Amino acid sequence: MKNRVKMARLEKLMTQQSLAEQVNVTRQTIGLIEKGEYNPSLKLCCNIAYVLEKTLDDLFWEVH
Amino acid sequence: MIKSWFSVFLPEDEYKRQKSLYFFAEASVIIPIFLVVSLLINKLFFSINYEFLTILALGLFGLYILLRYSISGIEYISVSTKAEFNNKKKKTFVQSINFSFIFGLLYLVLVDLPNSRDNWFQFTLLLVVIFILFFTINYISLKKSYQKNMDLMD
Repeated sequence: MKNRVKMARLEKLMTQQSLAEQVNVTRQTIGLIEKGEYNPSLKLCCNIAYVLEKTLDDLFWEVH
Repeated sequence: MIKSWFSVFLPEDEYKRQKSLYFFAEASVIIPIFLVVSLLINKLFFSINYEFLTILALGLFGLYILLRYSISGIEYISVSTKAEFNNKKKKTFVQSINFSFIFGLLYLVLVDLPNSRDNWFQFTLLLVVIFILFFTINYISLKKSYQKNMDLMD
């Protein structure tokens, strides 16, 4: 699933490791989400959105 | 997280948990197939010792999960630089020696004490094989994890 997690994370000058620690997953999982190779659970999506101060739409809604 | 007693066997991280769950599920499908085939062989061709079959089924179950886990690259999540990789490789080497040593010690205490030169040779050979297997599986896992982590880096 395409998403804008990486962009939002870089906007906040955050590393993958730092985001991973704040949402309680591994850095590998964050990397996979950013690459669109893993679809996170709704709970994890919400946690990421909360930490990055974005809405779910901002991060995960695909605009065609 | 779905409530189940099985959760205690699964990692905390949700990606690792999902992957591990698949490995267990795949192994749980393979084992009944293996048992049905064994049952047919037992009925149609020759009888198989049930003790041997049980150990074989358990071994297959464990080995399948171990191999799938090792080649998936999800074990060493923090290894993403060459220095970390080399450092972990050294640690894996030492761990493999320790494991073989403890295995050998337990074997001598609990199973059998070799009583001839040939038996000692076989025992040493067994330890070398165990060392090679242990190191190889861990090295593959490390290498796969390193490659995967590098691909996913910032």
